[in-house]
Amino acid sequence: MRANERFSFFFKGKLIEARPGDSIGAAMFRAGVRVFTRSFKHHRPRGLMCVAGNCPNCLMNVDGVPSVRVCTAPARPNVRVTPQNVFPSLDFDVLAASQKFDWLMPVGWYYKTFTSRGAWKRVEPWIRKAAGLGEPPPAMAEFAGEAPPYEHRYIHSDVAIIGGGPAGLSAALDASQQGLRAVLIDDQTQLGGHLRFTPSEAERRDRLVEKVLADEKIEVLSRSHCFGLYEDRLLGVVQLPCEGREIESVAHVRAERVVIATGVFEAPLLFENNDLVGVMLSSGVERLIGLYGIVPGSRTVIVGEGPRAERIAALLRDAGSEVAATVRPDQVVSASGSGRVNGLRTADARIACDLIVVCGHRVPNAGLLHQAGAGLEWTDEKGAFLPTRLPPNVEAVGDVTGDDLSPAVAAPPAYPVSKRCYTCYCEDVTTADLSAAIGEGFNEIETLKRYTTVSMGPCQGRMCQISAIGVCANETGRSMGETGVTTSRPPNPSVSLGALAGGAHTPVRRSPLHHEHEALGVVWMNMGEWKRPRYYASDPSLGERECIEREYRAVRERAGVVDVGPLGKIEVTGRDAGRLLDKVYTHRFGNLPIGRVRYAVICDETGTILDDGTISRLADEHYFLTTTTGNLEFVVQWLEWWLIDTGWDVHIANVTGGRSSINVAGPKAREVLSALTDIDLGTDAFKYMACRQGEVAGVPAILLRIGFTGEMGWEVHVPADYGAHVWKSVLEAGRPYDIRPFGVETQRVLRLEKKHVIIGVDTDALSNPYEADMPWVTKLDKPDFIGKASLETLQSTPAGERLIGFTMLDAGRIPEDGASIVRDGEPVGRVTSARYSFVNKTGVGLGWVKAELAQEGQEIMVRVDGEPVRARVQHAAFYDPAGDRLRM
Amino acid sequence: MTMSNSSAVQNPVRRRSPLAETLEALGAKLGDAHDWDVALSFGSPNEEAEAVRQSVGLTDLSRIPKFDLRARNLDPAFALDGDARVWRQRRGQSLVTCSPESRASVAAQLDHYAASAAESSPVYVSDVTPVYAALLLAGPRGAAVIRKLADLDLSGEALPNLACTQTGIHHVYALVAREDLPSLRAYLIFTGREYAEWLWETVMHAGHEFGMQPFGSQAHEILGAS
Ligand code: FES
Repeated sequence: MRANERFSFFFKGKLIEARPGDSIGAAMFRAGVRVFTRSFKHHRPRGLMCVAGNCPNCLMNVDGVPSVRVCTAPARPNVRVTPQNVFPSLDFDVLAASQKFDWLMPVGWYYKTFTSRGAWKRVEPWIRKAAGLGEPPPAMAEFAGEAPPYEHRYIHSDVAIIGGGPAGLSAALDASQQGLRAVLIDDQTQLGGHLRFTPSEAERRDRLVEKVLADEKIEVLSRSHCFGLYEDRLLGVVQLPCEGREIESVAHVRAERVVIATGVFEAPLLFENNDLVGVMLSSGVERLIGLYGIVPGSRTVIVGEGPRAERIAALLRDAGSEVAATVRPDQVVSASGSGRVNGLRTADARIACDLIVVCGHRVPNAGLLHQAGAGLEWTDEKGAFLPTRLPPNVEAVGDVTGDDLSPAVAAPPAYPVSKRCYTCYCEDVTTADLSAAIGEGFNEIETLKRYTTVSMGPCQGRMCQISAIGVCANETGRSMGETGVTTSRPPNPSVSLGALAGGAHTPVRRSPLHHEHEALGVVWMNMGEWKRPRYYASDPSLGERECIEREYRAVRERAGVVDVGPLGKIEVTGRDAGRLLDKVYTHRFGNLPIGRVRYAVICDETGTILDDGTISRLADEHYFLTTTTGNLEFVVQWLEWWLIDTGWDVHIANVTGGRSSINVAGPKAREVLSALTDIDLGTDAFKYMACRQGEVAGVPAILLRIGFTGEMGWEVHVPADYGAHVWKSVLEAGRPYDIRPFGVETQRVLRLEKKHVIIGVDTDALSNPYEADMPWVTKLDKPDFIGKASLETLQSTPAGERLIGFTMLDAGRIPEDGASIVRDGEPVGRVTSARYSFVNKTGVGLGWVKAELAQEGQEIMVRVDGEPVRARVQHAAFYDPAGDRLRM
Repeated sequence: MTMSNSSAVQNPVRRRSPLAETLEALGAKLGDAHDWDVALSFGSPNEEAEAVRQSVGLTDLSRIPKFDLRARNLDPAFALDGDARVWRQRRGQSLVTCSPESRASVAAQLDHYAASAAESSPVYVSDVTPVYAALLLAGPRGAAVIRKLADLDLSGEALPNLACTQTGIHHVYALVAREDLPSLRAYLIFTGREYAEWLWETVMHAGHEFGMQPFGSQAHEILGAS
């Protein structure tokens, strides 16, 4: 498309022609559209008012995105624009009839009417539908594999300037001249602020903008709203899509100095029917004429006085509109017309017109300054709350300081108390509502806001705050200053949740064997950030349970191999390594012989179990630790914490990602591995709970003979870059024994049959080793260690609860993890893990029960699908209780 | 304290980068370099190099040797011979990198340094080559890409050439080190090996608006020589 070519987009299925530089709203207005929205509660027709993105009057759905302010959104070819919150159309909305019944819905009516939960539940969906702000955009999941259209970026700068008007442009150039980097944030598509639509200022604007755009030290963010000024001058900025940028993004801007040059915005005045289509703010009219060449009415009445009113009158006349009258605000009685303006009533006349231009309050746009901690103080002669007491390194320049302001009306203003005099356009709050609420006792501006929702809608008070304060002041007999302002909070303006969330960025950790698993038909499960094989759907004709049983049988009868890469792995080296481990773990490790492995548990000072794993002594000053996957970072920090200030010679290295780890298990594991290594794996040469270093499949490896699965087996740790090679070598060497890879689900069945506990699954934040049925892990006769004092006490304290094993007496019923254990219908415990045991041919599990129910053989009732089912307590392992198979 | 012997073993089995499959799926031609499977190119090394010069490109450098150096009182002027770089992560901890050719010499220097350290101020060296993946982001738009990922000040004053900084990319630890190519800004990004593929995808996605393309070791050589 050529730069000056006209184009079209769709509005309610019809084509609307747009000119280059048009906003969607401007093109629609030029095409004759006057009603843009229906109001929130009363469904009154509303039309363009501010043309600056400040009010709620033009919120529409654009290409599926709700609540887009079309008056500032750039028009683009082929976008689809649809109205929102209309039943059934903008021009005819049946819910507008609700105005007739508004006596039934006084302010706060739903607080008072729907006091029972049931009633509110029934009506809430209807209220939500009738008083909505459009339909939400597609959920992330619906982006169907594509990256969602949101992202974040980070900007560091010496100076951040908010506002692209003359003051902001000058501030950016000043900063650059001082050799500073500046970022200039402007909410419009073109820089220049009000100079853009002030013909006499065109040259000045062009000169300033040209200089700024040519300056390499200045970065310009256009169509970008600063929605929050946080601690340490962190700015939240949402960048809306515009030409050359399809994606909505949030910029995190950090600056040494922040300059607020946000200028003023114009807010409406209070009179009856002040919301009719055809009542516009003077700055909105200036924008329509100056930016788009659109004259919004043929016969105009101006409400205002002084130079501003005169300037607007001249502008309209020059543009070809007849100015029927200029009326002082205090003379206005009401706007008239049904839906659209057809006249203005004063005390003694009715003036026919199709446009009422209101010279409204000029309100310093000081919300960001207020957020930053500045004060806002009322000044009668300016008719505004002006920023004071600015925090360090935050400045205000230009109109936001209020230097050029004068009051639009006397303060507090006169107004009719009427159900058709709108204070808040977003939420349809009228002067009658405010007056009634104040009468009910909500006479502080903050409580008045919460009760009536005035200033809580999409405009966040821009259009209504000043009027609401005026009404509150009037009704309570206080001054504007005494009434005060409500607190400014981010985000303002609103930001879509998608933009705040950013793109799909959930980190994913992959084992070095990830692609090997994929080639074997893995079914993944997410464990924290890790992707882990749940099981392998190696045969499409088999279901999950059959696949798991096949994997299970391979391990119990022949050989299986599992990827345990996500296990935490830590190397602890140095002269005092054993000393540190003795201090932190409950067992003894300083005396662990080289070449041996020991089960290891960490408790905190209260004796609560924090983590478990194994510790292998590879050399005199070299230990190799494994931890649970989820607790790795914690264990590293815990070790480092207890090392601080000891002066000990210890080095702790987290080598988890650098090692590929597998467990080869099963009665044929020895044969499989023997084909790949020269290490003697014989029963006596390589005993259960022993470790060795050597080569496996030609690469350096650490081998631990341990038995989480309950079968003879070796954990093999190799440098991650060799992981795939070793995995493939093991599968190849195991082929004669029909070796199978197995997943986490099979591993869970195998370990459960051995009654091996998973810390964090079978234990919780209160479990200690005595209640968890593992008193043997504590060595209370060794010198002090973390938790010793508490464990000594706990050892002699009767347990309140105990971790037990149980077998289901009804073979077909397997409880869910987390199911209740009950007695006489009352909960007395909970299941932590339960699975079908292929060897026991029934369900087996672990769970916590009150200590008196933890006797061997005790019958307990476990809830399965809501029904109590009989089970029996068993303390010994469900499989190979003597552990003979581990020692073969 | 010296490196564990397990990591020092050389043997004929080729080492595989955590990104090997990702690069293959992108059409990389893999070849052998210092016992590693390396992405040589994605078609035309010259075109890849030119794309980097014009905008930005990404390549896998996970194969470069990396050593974790812990020395509480490391001399600020500490340096190693050859092409080794000492990236100071925080007080007492540095990551040492070098070219694959210098691996043995740098390892020997580090071992010597550790062995001669005073008992009261021990020095620990570990070979962490397989622990970290490394990506090289090169080209004039490289900083703009990083700005979409990490809250970092990348100005010349805050991060000059041969300086490094630690950050989180979507809360995942990353060490960002600036090591410019001749007349071209370039950043090395180190992260845990297990995050390598995710990080590659994340960086590529961030670079999409700048037309970022992967480049191979041959284009890297061209850029290094130019
Ligand atoms: S007319 Fe669009 S926001 Fe006011």
